[in-house]
This record gives sequence, C-alpha cells and structure tokens, in this order.
Amino acid sequence: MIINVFDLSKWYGQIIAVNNLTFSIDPGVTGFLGPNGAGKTTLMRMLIGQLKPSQGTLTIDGEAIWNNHTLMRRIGYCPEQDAFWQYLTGLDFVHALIQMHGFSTEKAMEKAVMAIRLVDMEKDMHRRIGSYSKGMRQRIKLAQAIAHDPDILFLDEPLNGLDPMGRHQIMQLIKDLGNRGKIVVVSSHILHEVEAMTDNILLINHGRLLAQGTIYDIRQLIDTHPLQVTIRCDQVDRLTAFLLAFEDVLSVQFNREKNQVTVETNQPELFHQRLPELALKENLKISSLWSPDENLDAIFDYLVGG
Amino acid sequence: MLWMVLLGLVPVFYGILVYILKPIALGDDFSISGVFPKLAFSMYLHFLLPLMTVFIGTSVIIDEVESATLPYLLVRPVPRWKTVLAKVLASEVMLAIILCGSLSVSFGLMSLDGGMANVCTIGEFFTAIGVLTAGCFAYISLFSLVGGSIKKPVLTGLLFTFGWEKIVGSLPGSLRFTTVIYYLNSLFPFKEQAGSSNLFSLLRATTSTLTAWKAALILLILMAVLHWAAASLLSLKEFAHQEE
Repeated sequence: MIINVFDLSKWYGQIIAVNNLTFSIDPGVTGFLGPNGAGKTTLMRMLIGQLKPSQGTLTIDGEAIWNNHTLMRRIGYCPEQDAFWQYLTGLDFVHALIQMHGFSTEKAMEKAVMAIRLVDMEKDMHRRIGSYSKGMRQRIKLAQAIAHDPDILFLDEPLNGLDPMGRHQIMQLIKDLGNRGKIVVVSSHILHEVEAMTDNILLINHGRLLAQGTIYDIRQLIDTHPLQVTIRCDQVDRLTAFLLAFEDVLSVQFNREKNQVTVETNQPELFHQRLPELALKENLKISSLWSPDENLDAIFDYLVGG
Repeated sequence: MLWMVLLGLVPVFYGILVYILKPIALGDDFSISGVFPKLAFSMYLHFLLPLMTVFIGTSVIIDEVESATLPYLLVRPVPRWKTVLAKVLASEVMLAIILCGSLSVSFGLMSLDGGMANVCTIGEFFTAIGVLTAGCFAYISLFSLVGGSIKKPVLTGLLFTFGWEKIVGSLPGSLRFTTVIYYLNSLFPFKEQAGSSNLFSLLRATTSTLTAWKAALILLILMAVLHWAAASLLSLKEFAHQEE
C-alpha cells in the first residue's frame, strides 16, 4: 500500500496552490508541515479525490484518485473546517455517514459507537452537535473518519481546538493507527505537534515541497537557520562580553534597562548547549530565555530564501 | 425548512382570510369554493412553484459547498452522480410534499363552503397534485444544475421563471415550447379565466395548449434529461470550500 504523487500541480487561474510536488507515502504516520496557506489543504483535497490535479499524477496503489469512488472505501478524511449538520446528534452524524459505506443499519451503528468510544465521546454522543464545544466537534469529526476502519487516513489539522489532555489522547490514537500499518497523513502548522506524532515529515510552503525526511533531517535543516535568542540576566554586561566570544554568535544587541540581551546564532543547538555551562561557570542568573523567531514562518522564510 | 413550510401555507392563510371576510365584506352570495381553481392556478402553479423551486433548487449543492459539509458526502464509496441525484430528488420530494400538502389543505378548507363537488372534481384535484409534483421535479433539477454551474444562480433563476417563462410561455408561436411552464399549463386542470386584466394572463388564456398526453410525454423526457444533466455534469465539478 503506497501513495504516489508525481509532478503534481494545482492552479486556480494565475494562482498556483500546489507546485510540482513529487513524493510517496508509505504506511505509518506522515506529517504535512507548513504555515497556514502553504497548500497543505489543497494537496490533501487532491489526495482524497475532491480536487482534480491541474498537472501530474496522484495514485493509491497505482489507481488514480480523482472521481474514483471505489477507492473511497479505503479512505477516511477529517476536514479542517469546523463544519457539521448542527441539528444531528454526534451518533447520528457518524452513523449516517458510515451507512454510506454500505453497512447495514445495525452494523453501522456498532461501528459508529466503537469509533465514538475511541475518541472518548460516548457520554455526549446523544447530544446535538450544535451544543458541542470545539474540542468535542473535533473528536466527532475524527470519529466519522475512522469509523469504517479505513487503510488510509487524511487528517487535516486534527488537533485544532483540543485541550492538552485531548491533544495527548488524539496524538496517541493517531500513533496507534500508524503502528497498525495504516497510512495516516496529518497536516499541521505546528512543528512540535507533528514531531510528537511522527518522525516522517513533508515540509511544504507556497505549494512547494521544501524538504522531505525524518524529523532529524528537518531539524538539521532548521538548525542551520540563524536563530535569535533573547536572554534576561542579572549581569547583562558580563553575559554580553562572554557571548561575544562565542564563534557561533553572529550579532549581539543588549538592553540594559530591561536586563536582556538578544543574540543571533548560526548554530542554535550548540548555543543552547553552551549557555547553561557558561551560566554555571560564571554564576550568571538567567531568569528567562526565549526565541522570538522560533516559529515555522521564520523557518520557512529562511528555507525558501535559502 | 420552516420558511418553506410557512411560504407553502400562504394560500391556506389566504383561504382562512376569505372565510373571515365573507360575512364582513364579501357578502353571503360569494362562493368560497369557486376561489380554489384560481388559487391553484395563480398562487400554486404560477407563483409558489417557480419561486420555491428557484430557492431550493439553486441551493441543493451550493449549500453543502458553502457550509463545507460536502466533503463528508464525497469521501464515501458512492459514485458522485448518485450523491448529487439523491440530494436533488430529496429536495424535489420535500417541496412536492409541502406544496401538495398545502394544496390539499386549501382544497379541504374551500370544501367546507358548499362541499367538495363545488370546488372541483376529484380527478381535477389529483391532476393538479400531479402537475405540481412534476413541476417540482422539472424546476428543481433545472435549478440545481444552474446553482452548481453559474454565479448568482438565484437571480438568474428568478429572471428565468418570472421573466422568460412568463413572457415566452404566454406567447403564441413555437418559442413557448422551450419553457417548462407551457407543458405544466397544458396539463393543469384549472385554466386561466379569459378576460383577465393582466396582459400575460390574457395571452395565456387565449394561447392554445398541447394535448395532455403530448405535454406529459415531453415533460417526462424533459425531466429525465434535466436529471441526467444535473447528476452527470455536477459530478464532474470540483466543489471546494475556498479558504486557503
């Protein structure tokens, strides 16, 4: 079981949403990582046969996906949009959709309840979706995607709106599904979310594939990106003097009033390793440390620019 | 849904109003049962049917696209054309139930004044029900196709039903054969009264109609073609809620 994407593009008039993508996806969890508007959703919609590629091919085990309803038996999809038939109960929603797979009413009910149990929504399944919280809606959306036990799951931002406990539960469920040999494609714009579920990542921005590989490969790529780190310290003058001696530090700016110094380093990993050693050795009290540009947008800008 | 039921019940409210006004303003000689054929023709066939089919037909697919619920339906092992056709048919049946239910209540209401025989024959009543149902099927399939294919479908639909259909369907000559209302008029048991003040009404009342079997046959073919076109063309379209 494999998904093959070759030279895939999608454009709307002059706008290119997805640009010459070529990759393949094997069983296990794969993360589509990219900032909002990167083209992840368009790509996912092509993968579920909802959009027709403008160019290129897209196959599951050699079969084209567009307008191929028989393949849908093997696919589960959790859309990003918070869209429902609000008047239905959670159970009715999952049950009605599962019945479209040709299961009898009883069998569909059994499968719907099982899926709802997996996402921990059994207690509220008889309530109308209109009364659900964002997290509950996210869970019920996931239930309809997994209820028919598909081989391939496409989950578009599945952790949106979930509380930390819910995130942990759903991440665990996604990992379990991947470990059971299913292809699970998860899209997200948050690096650590994807990192927690898989080490197999496709990095996408402006419709282009920037990198594909393990989280280690991507991390390495990211780690070569000059990173800004702001440190608040009781002896900011002394700290600045020490930091200037680090060969990986490209620039230093300090603000005596706020007791903070901002450095730019081209080896963030090394910097984060040496800073605590320095603080211990020189008895510097570091009260806080953060990175103003440690977000995907900055990383993507760097990767695109590079 | 509620607005559809309320709109469908407007003629019933009108009937109740006539009952209220009869002793006050219309006089004891006024025959309420005689109102039914006019009500069926003007209100149901020429106003509610085109108006409601435009709104319902154009929203059959677009509502699902705009509310972003369509992906749930399309990611199922069901051919797209079947999903589209099922939605179109469900809308048609729903509107037919509302309109025919309302017509039946109006019929019952009017029958209270002088009995059923004074309103119309049972044959005429059921023919009217059949024509309204056929109208729902023909118009909704047409407007679902319009709704999924062009921008501003409601405006286009209203211009078509209250412009093209009204004008061309009332004119003598062969152009009227291109309208749906011409065939519905030919089959409807209640005709417009000659001598009406409205120009279109006057034209309709004096324009010849087809024989019933010919009109029924053409209407059936038209419905089949429209359903086929709606199901097959809409199934090839990409329906994506544009957010990215």
